[in-house]
Amino acid sequence: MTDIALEIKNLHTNFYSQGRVIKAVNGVSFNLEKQNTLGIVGESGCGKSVTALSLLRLIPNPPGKIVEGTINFEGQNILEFSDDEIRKVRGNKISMIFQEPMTSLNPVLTIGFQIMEVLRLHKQLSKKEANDLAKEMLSFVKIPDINRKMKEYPHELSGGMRQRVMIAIALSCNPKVLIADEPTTALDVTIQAQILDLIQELQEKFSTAIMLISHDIGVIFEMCDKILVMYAGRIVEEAKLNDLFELQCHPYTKSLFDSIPILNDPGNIGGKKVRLKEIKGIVPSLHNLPEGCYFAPRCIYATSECYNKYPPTEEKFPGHFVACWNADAIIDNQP
Amino acid sequence: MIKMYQDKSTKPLLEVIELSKSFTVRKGIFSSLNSNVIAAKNISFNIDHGETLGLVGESGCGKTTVGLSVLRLIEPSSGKVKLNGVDITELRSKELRKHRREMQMIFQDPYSALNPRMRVGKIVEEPLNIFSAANSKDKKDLVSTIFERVGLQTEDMNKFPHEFSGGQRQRIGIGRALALKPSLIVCDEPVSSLDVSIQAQVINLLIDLQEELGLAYLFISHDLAIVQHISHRIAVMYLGQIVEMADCNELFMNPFHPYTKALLSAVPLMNPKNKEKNQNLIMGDLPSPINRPSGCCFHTRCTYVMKRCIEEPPIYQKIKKNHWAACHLN
Repeated sequence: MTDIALEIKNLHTNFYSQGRVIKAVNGVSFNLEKQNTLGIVGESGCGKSVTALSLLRLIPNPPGKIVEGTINFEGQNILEFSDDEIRKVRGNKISMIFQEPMTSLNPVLTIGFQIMEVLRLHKQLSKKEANDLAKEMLSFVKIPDINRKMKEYPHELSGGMRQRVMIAIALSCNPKVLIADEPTTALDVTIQAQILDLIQELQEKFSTAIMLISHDIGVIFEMCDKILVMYAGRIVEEAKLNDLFELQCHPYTKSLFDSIPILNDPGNIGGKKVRLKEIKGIVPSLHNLPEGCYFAPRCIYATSECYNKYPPTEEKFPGHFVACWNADAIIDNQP
Repeated sequence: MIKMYQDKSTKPLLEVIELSKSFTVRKGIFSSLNSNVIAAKNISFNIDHGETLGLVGESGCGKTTVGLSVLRLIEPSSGKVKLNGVDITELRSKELRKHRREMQMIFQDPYSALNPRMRVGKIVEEPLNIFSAANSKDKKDLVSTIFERVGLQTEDMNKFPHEFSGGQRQRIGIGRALALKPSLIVCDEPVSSLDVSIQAQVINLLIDLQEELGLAYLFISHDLAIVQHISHRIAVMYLGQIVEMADCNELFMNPFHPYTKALLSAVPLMNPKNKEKNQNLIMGDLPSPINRPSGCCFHTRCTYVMKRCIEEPPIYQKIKKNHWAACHLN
């Protein structure tokens, strides 16, 4: 299996606080294929970001700890790396773009320095070479007036420009895997569209595998080949983009999709304001998870079985995985 | 008693006429030079009883400034705000307070909008105390009715805000706004800090309350899909000005202003089959409101820019029935 960039098996990440165990990531397994884009959607607290941080071993310890699982990258398990070894991977072979570009850039260093830093560290380039390459990276991310921008500080740039710089830094070592954690959440829609376009364009150029995390299903749909839906620390459904759009087998995925107001929804054209389809109740707290399926208390299809045992993940269609006791009934109910 | 949106014969509930607000900023720490940031410029709109006006635009376009000026929580620099025909911009504070009962606000962040040291029952009750709106016996009943109406348990009245989730806190905020039976509520991004499943719950609550109580909303949001869902009419703002205003369906079906078109095509669609490239993708960033572009403020990013756009600002005018826009392409 050479076309897999990153293979995650049974990942468990816990946080320990006030004597409680918070199971933020609770047995997550998936593969990230080379040159593909994998999307993770879910509501806040579902474990999307913790999964991403676990892949780079960026979980602060204490309070957090990766307690179980393997992350295979180029034939090695990242979780067994020493600190020095993992440092050689971070920002080099696997790099990350964060949500808030203001806090992830160093405010007292120039843009130019911050890009060159990565190149000099990982590629051992001379100052001159690093400078040239940094400029080239900035031109890839379409920053105008590069010579001046190299000498500017993050606060002198707009949010969209800062995110472009982050992307330039992340891609400067030509990584195999790019993890983008809510890369456009802090941006306006018109800027978001520009950044998403840029990410797609650069993915082709650098043939990077991207793991895109977002709570915005619209963004995920626009960008991804494969989608994982997470709920309370577990993957509830996994499918290719078109398959998931056609048929949502897990009741959470289905109600999540239904609850989103869609632009130009035919049901909403006309004077009367239509109610949205809401999901009753709230997400369970991760230190006190219900027995059985975590979604059962909010699920309209829940049966007694759902309250007793967490459902196993089954492949209902080729490449379409679901963890639900009633998936068959739900599939039959849809046209 | 409830005047519905369809009842066009009555006077509008709220009339905003040529409202402007500028803030003074110092040019540097040691400089005595000041420059003006025009946060809102010549904003005019009406809201009828029971109607929702959506106000959309990107961050920094002045949506919130307009919302706050309408309630006179910040003083507008010029222009009039008439509530039921009374110009509230000229009222002294005592007089103003009487009219404030009629208008309430729901804030974006339900975490900072509630006093963490007050029990939530008291938070909802506070407006009633300030206006001596009910005697102590009725007050209790009223607060529990409100609690039930916004979907909270009455036994939770003695809890503190931190014991609630984001969505529940927003319900408390809505309950507080409802306590004085206002006719207008300014909703400033009320769902943007909530998860989608909770967002739907809050939007539904707002729609239901409007139907029941005939409330009018000024609904401020950057999320076009939500605005389309809840609004009867929509105003699009760019750099402190309204560039287009129309009925909800009209605006989405026949957007006129290039900025509105760009904004609509930038929204990611939830349909993989519709993956055609965005034709109206606009380049560049929002200009700084300190150095406003000459002429039409959108000309720096507009695909249809002409010489005239750089020289003279377009007039905000009617282009067809209930559809207004400010663009030279007219």
